[in-house]
Order: sequence, then structure tokens, then C-alpha cells
Amino acid sequence: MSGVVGHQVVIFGLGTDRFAVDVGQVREVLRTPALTRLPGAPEYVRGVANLRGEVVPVIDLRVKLGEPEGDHEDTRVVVCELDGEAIGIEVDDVQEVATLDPDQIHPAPRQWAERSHQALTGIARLDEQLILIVDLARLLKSDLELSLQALREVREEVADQVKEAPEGARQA
Amino acid sequence: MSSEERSLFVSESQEYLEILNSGLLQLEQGTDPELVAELFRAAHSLKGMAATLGEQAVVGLTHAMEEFFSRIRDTGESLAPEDLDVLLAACDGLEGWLAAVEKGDASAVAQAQESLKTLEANVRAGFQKLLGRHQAPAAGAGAAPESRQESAERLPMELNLYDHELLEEAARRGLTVTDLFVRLQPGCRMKSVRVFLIFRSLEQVGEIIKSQPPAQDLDEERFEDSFRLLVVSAESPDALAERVRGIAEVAEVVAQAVSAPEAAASRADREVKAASEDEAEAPQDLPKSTEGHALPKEPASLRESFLNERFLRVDVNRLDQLVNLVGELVIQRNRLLSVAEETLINSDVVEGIDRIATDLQTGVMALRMVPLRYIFQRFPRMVRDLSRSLGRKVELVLEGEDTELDRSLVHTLADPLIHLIRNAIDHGIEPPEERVRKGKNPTGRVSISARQEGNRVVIEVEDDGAGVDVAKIRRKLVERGLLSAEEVEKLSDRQALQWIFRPGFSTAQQVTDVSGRGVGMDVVRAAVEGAGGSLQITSEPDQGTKIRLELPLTLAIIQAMLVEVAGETLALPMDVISEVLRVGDADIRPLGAGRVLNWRGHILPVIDSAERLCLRAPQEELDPDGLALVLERGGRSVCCLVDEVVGHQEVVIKPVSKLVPTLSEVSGATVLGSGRVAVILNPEPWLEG
Repeated sequence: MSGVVGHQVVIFGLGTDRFAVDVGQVREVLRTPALTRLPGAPEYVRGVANLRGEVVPVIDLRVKLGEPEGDHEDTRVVVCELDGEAIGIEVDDVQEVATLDPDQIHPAPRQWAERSHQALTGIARLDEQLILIVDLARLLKSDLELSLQALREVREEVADQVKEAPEGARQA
Repeated sequence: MSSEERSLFVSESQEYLEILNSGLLQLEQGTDPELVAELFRAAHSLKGMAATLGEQAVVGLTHAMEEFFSRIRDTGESLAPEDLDVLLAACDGLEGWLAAVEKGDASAVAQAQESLKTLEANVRAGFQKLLGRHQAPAAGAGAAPESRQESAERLPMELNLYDHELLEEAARRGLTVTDLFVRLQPGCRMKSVRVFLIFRSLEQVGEIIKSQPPAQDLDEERFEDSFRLLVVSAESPDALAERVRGIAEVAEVVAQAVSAPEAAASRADREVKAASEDEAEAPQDLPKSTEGHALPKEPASLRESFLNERFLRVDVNRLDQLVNLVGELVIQRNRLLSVAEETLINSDVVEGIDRIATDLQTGVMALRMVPLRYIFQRFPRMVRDLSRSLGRKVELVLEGEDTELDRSLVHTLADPLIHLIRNAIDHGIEPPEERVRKGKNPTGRVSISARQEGNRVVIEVEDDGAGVDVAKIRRKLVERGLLSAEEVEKLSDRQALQWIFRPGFSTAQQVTDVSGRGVGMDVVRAAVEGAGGSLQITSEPDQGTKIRLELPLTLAIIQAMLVEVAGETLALPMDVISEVLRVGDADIRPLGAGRVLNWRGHILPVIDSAERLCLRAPQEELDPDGLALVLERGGRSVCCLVDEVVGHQEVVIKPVSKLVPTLSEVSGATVLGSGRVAVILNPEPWLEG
């Protein structure tokens, strides 16, 4: 499923890694609000926040991807819609809304797409950087074990292919 | 049919079906002429409504049912159980058809219509049997009642209170109310077509609020050649009369304005007054033309019954929206109060808003309350069918049907209650012979009673059957490896019985090991606890079993105590808290791996909420300034430790996202005056011990 072709994406960062998510999945972006811990929730759930009267869980994407917890300094929350409910994803920063040209996107190698249950849909080259295009809804399914380490490996794998055909990606 | 009309049609038809269903069950006790007349009217009304939709299969079936009722109304014969089976099956078929109509599923409707035809044949065959049994075949028993009923109620056109209100409303809006007398040419063929054209023509410029005879009779040509209509329109009586005269085969039209009663008339539009010389008398002065057509007691057409309704049907979604808004208002009110306190503004304005918000909240919450009757009324039928198929004799006693509960809770309760009743009959009540052997009345008794206790509702399902064998439960617990023999020894009978609700116990158990009462009990418990309720079972061998459900009155807003635990503010339902003690003053001692509180001679287990909620590691030493709350519900109690009590207030319960799993102690969340979210605790898992 290459639903992101020619689509607008929101680009956010986690450390030095950059991710893109279809703008249609994002409801809004905010500074991380005050959070209340939720007893019994998995470790990657930082808590729940009041979003204009709605009680919305906030996921620590770092922990969800198997990384150690960050310092939560000046982080942002990307609020998306999943199964009709709002859910927030805490990320380090949200950079921009960009339009990805089909030429910039390299589909994820099939075995990776499958292994990530289609959570990783592709890799894009933007401003000399490789961006992981993810489907947030799939990424957040709680039973999915997907590590940032694994995502980085795919990115490196694809990076070699991108170098081989660099011209196609320069048209943006 | 618009969706609004459809839902109106469906809910009205449901009412008639309920009358039929419950009336038929009453008939089993013997024939009561008034009851039979009511059943006849219900079948008749249903037939009329179906006719307006062209639902021939329904018309056929309800007509066949009418035959039954008219016969026993006239002869006073009683119905045999097999007659009732046939008629009840017909009701089921109609319910199925109605459900399909409600969904707007054309193929399901077509399917239902097919089965209605079979049912009609069954009802007709049943009727022939009834005639055969009484050896008095009554020719044309089906056709007779209609004409009899109609001639029995020759009434002049009457305006009821509601009509008067409509007149006033029309006057206020500067509209004219016209009483139109219409006579069709003698020998007019296809009168209903003329009626249709007249209605359509008038409805282009106004609204027909009443007709005599009722619209349904007009549709079905049950009138001689004249009828009267009450029309609200901006057009003058003369203009309306002209419109009707323009339709073929109309012989005579007399139009006259009708005005509202004096009180409203003083404010009424001049035109209305001018149009009629003799306002107050107008309705009676109109030509006495209709050949004695009745204005039946039952609603004759959708529109009429809708207008005559004292109750307003409101889309549930609108109501929920309103409840949500009031919830927001309560939160903002709480914020306003905390701001006012901080800034020391103690103005009348804040108090006024506070008071109005509280009243508004009470009022809106009351709108959501529905009586338990909505689910109780299904039980007699269910118990009858079940006891017949299982070969038991059961008397069902219902109490407290008027007890009100939040709408959403009533829905949640339906299935668990049905399950409990089924269990009571299937596994509780013994077969008649066995009961006689035990020296019991061969007819068993199942009673369901409901009542309000404080801000909770208690529902008890009780039977006088065999009871649950506690010794067997103990044995099974050990056999299944769920508890050790020593642990089972320590259980009181009451504690052992509660195991019936545990998932591990009941599913491992399958059917009838403990007189069957394991089956699905965990499902019942999950539903009840999911709704913030609790349930308990008591049972005596050969005396019977009692299951007690306790539920909150409403799910939307509760009184809560706000407590602080490991830096988090949590809300605990106020009604569960019996006492608040300072840890330093309380008699808390270590026992085994945990601690217990000696409270008024009772030894209660102590739960460190911070630890239990995974908010903090276990404490070696208790903070003497911490607080110990004694929680009590349904005779069970426990002590829980918190750091501090912050206050108490009404909190609006909001669901916690289904996207993330939580402990069963989390029953929801609320937004505090500060704007922060607080988790609402469900103490039920702790009370189990």
C-alpha cells in the first residue's frame, strides 16, 4: 500500500531519526500537556491528558520502539485518530508538513513491510536525509514489536539503493 | 418514509406489540373481556398502520389475530395453551418484521413478510381448531367486529385539550384553523383516491391536524361519502374550500374558521377572528354530516397519535449530547469554584452559576432515567417459554418495575438478568415431581425485585429451587488446582460461593457440575462490574438461591472523594468510603506477607493503593501521617492506604481509551478543576479480598 504517494506528510523527529506520517492521520500537534499516569497501562504509555475535555492516552514513541526513555524536555505530541479514538504520540520535535513526490519515495523492502505488519510503508529522501514513512495506526497496535534499531537497519539497506539511483530523487 | 416517520412508526408498532405480548400472557390466567378488547384494539391498530404502508402480509396476519380476539370477546371462551403459542409466535414474527423495517433492510423485510404468511396460516388453522373445540362455528366472525365497534362509538367531532393547544399555537403564529366539511358525489368510485388527492392538495398549503373519521378509515374507505378535516394553514377557509372543489367527484365543501378559546383569542390574529362570527361554537355548529363515524380511542394515524402524545420522543443521540454538554458545564463549574476560592471572589454570580449548573445537571440526568419495566416486561414471556420447554412449573414475581436507572445501565443489565433467570429456572427450580418429593410446592417461584438504596439500585433474582452445593464447589476448587485443600478449608461458605463468578472456575466447570450454576456467570459478573456494579450470591440447599446486583444510579456523574497517591490525584466513589483514619492512629499490624487493620472488632485486609496501582514500590514503613480509608460495599470491606485526601466533589465520568490496556481498578477518568485528568478507581477488585 503506497498511500503516501504524492501525499502530504507531517515530519517529526526522535533523536536524529526522522519519520513521516500521512497528514490525514494527524489531528493536531501540541506541546506535551500535563499527564496523569494510568495504572496498569504498558510501559510505553506515558499517561492520559485532557484534550479539550477528552481523555487521551499519550504514547512514548521512544519506549514503544524499544529505546530507553528520554528526558521529555520540550517534547511535542502528535495527536492522531485510531479506530475512532484520539491517541497522542510523544516525539522530540515536529519539523514540518511536506509534500513527498513519488520519485522521492522508495517502498519498504517487502520482507520489512511484512515484518512490520505494514507499519513501515517506505523510505523517503528529503534534504539529503532519509525519512522513515510510517503508518501510525499500525505502528501503535499494542501487540506489534517493532524496534527503532530494526527500522534503522531497513533504512541503511534502502540507503544503498538510493545511492545507486540518486538522480530520480532530485526532482523535488 | 423518512427516517423520522419510520422510527415513529416502529416505536408505535412496538407499543402495540408489547400490549399484545403481555396481554396474551395475562390471558393464560383466564379470559377478561376488557383485556380481550384491548388486544383486539392493539391488533386492529397494528393492522391499520400496516395498511397505510401497504404491508399486506402484516394486514393479513393481524386480521387473523383479530378473529381470535373478537371470537373470545363475544363468547367468553378461554384460550388453550396451544392457541397462545400460535398467537405468541405471531407476535414474534411481527417483532422480527418490525426489526427489519427499523433497520431499513429490504431483503430482511421481504424475508419477514414470507414468514408472516406462514404464521397467518397457523393462526387461521388455530382459529379453526378453536371453533372445532367449541363446536359453534361462527360465520363471518372476523368481519363483524369492525362494523360493531364503529357503530358503537358514534361521537361528534371533539376537540381535546391538545387540539385546543394547537389552535392557540396556530393563532399565535397568525395561522388560520379551518374546519372543512367535504362530501363526495354519491356513488363515487375509488373514494380513497379522492381522499388522497384532497389530502395532498391541502398539505401543500397547510397541515391536516385531525380528520373525522380518522385518516386510516378514510384510506380504507370506511365512510359513506362525507368527512371532516381540521386544517392549519396560512390560507383562508375560502381559499382552502376552492382547492378542494377543484378536485373531481367532490360534491360539496363547507369551510369554516375555528378559533382558539377566548384566552388565546385575545392575542390572536385579527384575521382569524374576522373569518368566523361564532368562534367558540364553531366546531359544534358544523354540519352533522358524517354517518356516525367513530373517533376511536386508539391512535388512528401516525400524525394524530403523534400530536396527541403527551410525551415527546427524542433521538437518544441528542440526549447524550446534552448530557455531555452538562458534563462539560460541571467541569467548568468546578474550575470556576476553584478559581473563585483562590482569588477570594465570593460573588453572587459564582454562587448563582453553581446553583443553576447543579439544577440543570439534575434535570438532564433525570431525562436519561428509564424504569426497569423496559427489561422486566420481557421476562414473563421468557419464563413461560422456558418453563414450558424444560417441563418446570414456575411462578414469576416481579417487583419494583418502576425503579429508574440510567438508560445505558438498563441496556447493560438486560442480558445478565436474562442469564440469571434462565439459570434459576434451568438449574435452580426442580422438576415438579422432585419438588413434590421434597415436600415443596410443585410450582417453583422465581422473583425479581428492584429498589433504590441511596444512590444505588439493588436488583435481586431469587428462586426457591435446589440451591448451590457448596461442598461440591470446595471439592472442585481443589480438583481443578485453583486452591489448595488448606485454602479451601479457610473459605467461608459465602466466599466459596463467590467463586462461581470467577472465569477460571466457571469455564473449567462447563455445565451442571454445581447444579449448573457455573455457566456464563463470569460473563454476568463482567457485565455488571463493567457498569460499576457488584454482585453477590447466597444460597441454601433446597431453599434456593439469591443473587443480588448493586448498580450505580447513573454512569455519567458521581460523587467522589479525591485522594492523593504517589503524586497522582485519584477519584474514589464516595458511596464506598465508610471511614477515614490517620494511619498513625489506626490499629494496623503485619500479618503474613501483608497487613491487616483491626477496625471496630473486624480484621480487614490492608491494601497499599500506591503499590497496587504500580505507582510506587512497596513501603517498608508506613507513613503515620498517611490515611487509611475503610471501604465497604455489599457487606464486604477492605482498608486502603492513600497519602492524602484532597477533597470531594462531583466528577464527570469519561471513558479511558480502549486503545491502551489498564488495570481493572481503573473505571474511568475525569477532568479536575485544574484541567488535569484524574483516574477514577473502581474498588471492586479490592473488596474481593
